[in-house]
Amino acid sequence: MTCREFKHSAASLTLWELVQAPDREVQDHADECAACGAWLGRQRALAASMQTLQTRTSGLEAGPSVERALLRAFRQVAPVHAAGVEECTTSLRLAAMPNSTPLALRLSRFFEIGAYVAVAAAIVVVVFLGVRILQRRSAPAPVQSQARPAATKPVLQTAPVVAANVSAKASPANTQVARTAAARRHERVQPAGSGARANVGRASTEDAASDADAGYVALMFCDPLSCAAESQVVRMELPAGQSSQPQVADVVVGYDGLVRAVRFVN
Amino acid sequence: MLIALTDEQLLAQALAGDEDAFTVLYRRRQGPIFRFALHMSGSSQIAEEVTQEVFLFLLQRGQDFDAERGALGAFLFGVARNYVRRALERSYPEHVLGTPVEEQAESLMVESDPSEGIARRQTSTAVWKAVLSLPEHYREVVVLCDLQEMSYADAAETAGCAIGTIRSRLHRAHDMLSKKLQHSAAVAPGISSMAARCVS
Repeated sequence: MTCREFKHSAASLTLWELVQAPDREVQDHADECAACGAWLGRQRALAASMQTLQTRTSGLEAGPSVERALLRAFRQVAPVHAAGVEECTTSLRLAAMPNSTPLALRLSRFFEIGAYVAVAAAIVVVVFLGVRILQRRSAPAPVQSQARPAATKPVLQTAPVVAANVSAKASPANTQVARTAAARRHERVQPAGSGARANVGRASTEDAASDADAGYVALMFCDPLSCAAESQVVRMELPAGQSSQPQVADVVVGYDGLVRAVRFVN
Repeated sequence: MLIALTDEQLLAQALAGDEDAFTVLYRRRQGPIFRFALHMSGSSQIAEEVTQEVFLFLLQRGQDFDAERGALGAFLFGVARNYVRRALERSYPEHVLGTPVEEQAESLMVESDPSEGIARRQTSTAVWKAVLSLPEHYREVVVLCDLQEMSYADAAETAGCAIGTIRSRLHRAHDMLSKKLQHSAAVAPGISSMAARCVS
């Protein structure tokens, strides 16, 4: 018998068969081959240990509480069986469990349910917050009356605002500038001094618009949707650079706070 | 009268409403089921819960049992196997890998020789811990074939796999157990010699 045949024969036997009554050929090979003999010796030691464990646990059984709980469940389900009705699993389980389920197990189920509830609550909160954020983003941003430093950083960072909002003032120059910007985009933004503007005809308005457009320099390219929205013209005084006089400029500010165009007045 | 009946006959009578038949069937089969769950989990609480669930399942779904497909004993072990797996997934590892032998088996055997009792207890503790540390599919075949003394065919039916798979798993599991026990003997070499010292 070769070592391979020995292993093959040994594998077909249970641990007890191998230890108690091994095949003669198996035993002969184990006597001849040191490696296989050592393996058989380890299997015998293992079998002896397993037998010790088996002997020590052979008398273990479920406690009487399990039998009582099962009999209680049986008495509940027996009439259902006799009537040929589909039994109710939940009621059967409830009949058996209360007196027999360990406290730790019941607590673990309680915590399991609590974990599910917590996860569900977290999902609800996340969905709620997500909806709120989406709503906040979709709402139009309020048009600010003062220029923001985003688009014209070198101009607006240090510039004190001289004329905040054209629509708030009724001076002729401001009125004209505001009307020009409004005529170029929409006629929605109108200066507050509507009395002065009432005397100006449509033709003169268009002339003034074409004159005013000539002085503006576009600062950004924008799509028609955003450029068609409401905008305001703000007059600003720029700090004096190399020249001695301070610069005054009219800035067209969009609804999003970005500067659309600029015109130097002097 | 009832004791002479087979498992299948007892089940049929129990499903017809005979409480005595159910009691006899339970008392006949609960021990192996309990010990299987105990050896697999190392926890008497889990073993009792599994035993109860198995017989509840028999009450609820007993009519689904088909005697032509196998014995009732293998059917019950198959159900117990599934409940043990669920219980092991639920329970904490430290619950499973606790010190089961000392708690469960200490009061069972009254040793005539106290020193022999200590040696046996230490041996069985080491073996059970080694069995519990095996991966689940190896542990399962060791418990079914070695501790429950089930045949390869019955174990294959219970585990739902081929006989060759049972053999190969058992072979591998024995090698792993031998190494673990050798390691534990090397770590605590005084265990085997303790009995001899106490006797002398």
